[in-house]
Amino acid sequence: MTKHILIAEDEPYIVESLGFVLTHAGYTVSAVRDGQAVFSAVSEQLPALLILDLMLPNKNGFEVLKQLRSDSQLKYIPVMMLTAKGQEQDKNTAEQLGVDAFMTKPFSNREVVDCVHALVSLDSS
Amino acid sequence: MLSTNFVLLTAFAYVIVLFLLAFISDSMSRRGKDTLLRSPLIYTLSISVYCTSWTFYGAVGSAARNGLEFATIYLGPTLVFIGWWFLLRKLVRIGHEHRITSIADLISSRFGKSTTLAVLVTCIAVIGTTPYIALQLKAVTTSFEVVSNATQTGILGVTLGEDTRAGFWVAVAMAVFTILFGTRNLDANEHNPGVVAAIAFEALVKLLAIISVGLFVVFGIAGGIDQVFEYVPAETLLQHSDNFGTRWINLLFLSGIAIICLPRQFQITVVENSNEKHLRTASWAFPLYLFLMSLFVLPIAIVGLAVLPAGSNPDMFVLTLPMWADQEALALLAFIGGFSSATSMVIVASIALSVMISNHIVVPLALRLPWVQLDESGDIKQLLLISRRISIGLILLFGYLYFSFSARSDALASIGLIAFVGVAQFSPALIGGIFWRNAAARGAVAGLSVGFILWMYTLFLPSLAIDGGYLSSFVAHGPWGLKWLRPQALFGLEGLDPLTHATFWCLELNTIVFVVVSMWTKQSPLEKLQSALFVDVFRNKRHSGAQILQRRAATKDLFRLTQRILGPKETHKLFAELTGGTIALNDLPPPDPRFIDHVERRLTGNIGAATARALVSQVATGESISLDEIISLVDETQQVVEYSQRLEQQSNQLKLTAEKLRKANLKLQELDSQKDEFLSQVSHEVRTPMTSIRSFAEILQNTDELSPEQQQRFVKIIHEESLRLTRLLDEILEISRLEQSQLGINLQKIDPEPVIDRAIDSCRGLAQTSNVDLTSGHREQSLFVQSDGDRLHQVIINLITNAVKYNTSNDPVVRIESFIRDEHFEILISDNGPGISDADRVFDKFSRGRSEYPAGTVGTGLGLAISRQLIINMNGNLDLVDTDMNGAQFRITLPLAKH
Amino acid sequence: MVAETSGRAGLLLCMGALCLLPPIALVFDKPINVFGIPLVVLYVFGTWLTLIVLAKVLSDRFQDSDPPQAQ
Repeated sequence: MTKHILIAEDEPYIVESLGFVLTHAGYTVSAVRDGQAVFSAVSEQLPALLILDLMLPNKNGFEVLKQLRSDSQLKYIPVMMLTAKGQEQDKNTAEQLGVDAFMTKPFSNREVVDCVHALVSLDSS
Repeated sequence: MLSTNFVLLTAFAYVIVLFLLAFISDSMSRRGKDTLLRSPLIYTLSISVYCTSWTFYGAVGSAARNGLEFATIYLGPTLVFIGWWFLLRKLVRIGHEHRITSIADLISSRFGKSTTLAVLVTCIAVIGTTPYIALQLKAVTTSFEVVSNATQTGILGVTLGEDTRAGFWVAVAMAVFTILFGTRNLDANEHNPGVVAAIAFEALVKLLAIISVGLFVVFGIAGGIDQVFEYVPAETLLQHSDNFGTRWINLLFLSGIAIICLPRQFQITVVENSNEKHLRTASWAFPLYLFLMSLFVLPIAIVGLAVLPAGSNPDMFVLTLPMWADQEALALLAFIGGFSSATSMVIVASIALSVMISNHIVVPLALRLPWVQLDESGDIKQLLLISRRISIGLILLFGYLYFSFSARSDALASIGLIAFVGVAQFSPALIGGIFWRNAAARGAVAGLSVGFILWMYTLFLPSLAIDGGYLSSFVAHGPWGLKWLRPQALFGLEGLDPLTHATFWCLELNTIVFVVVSMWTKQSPLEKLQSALFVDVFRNKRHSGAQILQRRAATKDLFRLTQRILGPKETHKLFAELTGGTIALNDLPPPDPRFIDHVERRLTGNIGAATARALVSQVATGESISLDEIISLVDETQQVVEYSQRLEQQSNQLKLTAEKLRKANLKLQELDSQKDEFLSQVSHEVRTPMTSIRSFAEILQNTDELSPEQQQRFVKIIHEESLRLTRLLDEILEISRLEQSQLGINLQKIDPEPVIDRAIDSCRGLAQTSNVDLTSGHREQSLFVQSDGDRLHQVIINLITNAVKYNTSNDPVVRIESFIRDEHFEILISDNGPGISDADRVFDKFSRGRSEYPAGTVGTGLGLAISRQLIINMNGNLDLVDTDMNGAQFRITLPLAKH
Repeated sequence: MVAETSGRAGLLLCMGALCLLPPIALVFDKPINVFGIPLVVLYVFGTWLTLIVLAKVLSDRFQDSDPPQAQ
């Protein structure tokens, strides 16, 4: 069974490119466009990895991450965070909240795929 | 009887012991094993330097002449010490806080770091102390001759005073000792452990000696305490002397002052104090020491008068009584006791004076002489060391010369009390300075000068008079026969003994002049600051002067200056402490006032407050004293209320300026953080399309099996996102330009209605493809506004486009209306879409106010911000109207043009 | 506590000064011997010793209560 990856991102083209790249790498991918929607999506299907944008409508990435980490069922989902702001401070905040990987836009596809492989295999082993 | 050589040898051996002791303590202290040396007991014992040979021998002499009176010399200090909480504690605290190096330094520092005062106090101290040192040399010489003289005259304790060699060698030995162990550390807050150990040891020796002699006299000669008072002289001494008279009061008072004001006492009690808590022990232990020293004085005096042959010198009873009883060992012990009293006084007094001379006279003088170069590292430190050593030599030389010239006169006998009165001249400035806020430098200078001159005239001068000489007739009849100017009956004040007479005039006039002049002069700001710091030393926080003196200096200059005084090693240490490790001078930020204050304080501990300030002022600029801080320091008192009233006007003005500055600063900070926020947002906005572009470009590059449709789509996305980037950059440039000026706006008197119509027409196509009903409501006619037609057109299109694009209603409608209201023209653009969720931020840059928008319609987030800026530049306004209906309603307001 | 103790220190100082100055001291300046020692001598040294003992007691009090700030 292929591993499932959930993308939370409000930029449709970025969702599309990520979706293409990750599908190509052998994952199944689904996407949500705002922070609140993450929770209904993960309750339907627990993803092997959540790719989370920082600037999301309704609930930003930090709030989502915080809520996930405080939920006993969801706290073990690996989370890779994306941001276009590229500020050191954001990275520190994310690390304090328990992020697994942090990536600044624009990223290379190779980088993303490598990181996803590492996080997902780490989780399954 | 003891042979001369044996006595000499003993004295020599004793001096060797002192050197060894000092050496061992010094090296122990350097290895950090000085807990014993820093104990309250050692501190207490070292204060006993108060008991010189003048008290060791002279107390008995005084008792033999005046009965109980001798006790006053010890009772005064006793009272001061049991009242330590009120005066000594404050002095010691001030000493620590301000790194005071001497009594001259304290007085100078209190009165605005005045150099004049420092020099004046130093001179008085030297003039008052040198004869005192001579007195010690005389006591040693006399006792040496007495104890080593085999003839009957030895017992009498009377000497010819021709052989001054013993005095000379003692002076030499003490000079060597003091130079070796007393100039180890230049810093006031680092101590001379060798000296302190030696002094404490000497305290024990003299106590042991006098108690041994006392016990022997009472029990060995008299046969019991009650027997002592059976002797005839007892009754005469006790009943016929004037106990508790004016002289008694005067001596009690004088000795109480002397225990603080004598330079050597100040040195030991305040400067060498390593811990304020030690005072608590000394408060009872030092009086106890004095009590024990005095316990046998009266018995020795009575027995000496009774058993020794008539004509015996009572000043030598301590020595001659054991000799009379053939107790050679005891006599030798007594001699050593007297010897130790003399040496300890000489050591401490010469240290105290040398510090004053080098800090307050030599260094300031050297800095003013153009041909003295002190620019190299450690130069001033070297100068200080050398001048201190030379001073010690000179002080002892002068002491010796004074002694050898006056050896045959009785001039020295009374010098102890004369010196007391001399140093008592410091007391109004000292005590007034630490308790009275308004005490001013000019008052202190005037008071001290008057007191000193009167002291010279009424006390010092008469003491030099020899029977039959010019001076004695001067004293007896006054200058030019003017009776009212007689030194010992000034202005016809007769009937008092000379000492009380002099004390009265000197201190009385000193105090009056000090108080009156202080009241009539205005303190300089620095003086006011120091006054507040000294008087309220327990209330004010440590180093609070730093916030008040706002000075600037180049780190390099400050460093060089410090190096000249402390030498390279200490300077590096100090700067490393202050800067948290870095001493790369070029990298250091300019030192803040606190830093400069710290450095000055440190230098003060080496060279005194006045000189340190003068030096730091050479490199520090912009010394201004913040008035608010002074006021907060010296609140609560009436003077300050008055003072602040006078300042109120000035400070109100300052406050106003400060408030303006604060506001401007706030505005700047706000702008700055807005700019940062803007840049971070721009970065975010640029990165987002860049991500898609890069990602799809990589897909195109690296994926082989792409269908032509996929390739087509990805290239299209890349193209679209590139356009989005371009648009974004254009708009960023535009809004920056608009925000900076009104350039690009061409204000004219125009009719806005055709502009609105044109904009509606332009949007028809979009509305039709989106199935949005674009309608025109109420419209005004024939009016003029001040506006730029093209720009207004652009804004209206932007608003209509937004309303159309984001309208997700099932039956979407966008309505345009116009009104004239309150002399303004209004254009309303309303829709029935989902509305604006964050109405407060909708006009902010990059805030996309619409909560939902369909894919592919992403804007830059700058459109509304640009629109609003455009309308504002037309002197109008663009805002969101709060309505009860669904959807959003934007309103453009423009001023009507005058017809 | 310190205020109280310092008040007592002030009292001790004043009492000491009063006792050692006329006119109180003059009361004891009489040609009387107690245990073979003149009264005035006994008085001066007795007062002195008393002051020392009281100062010791007070200094212990200062130690027990909030100690003065050390260097």
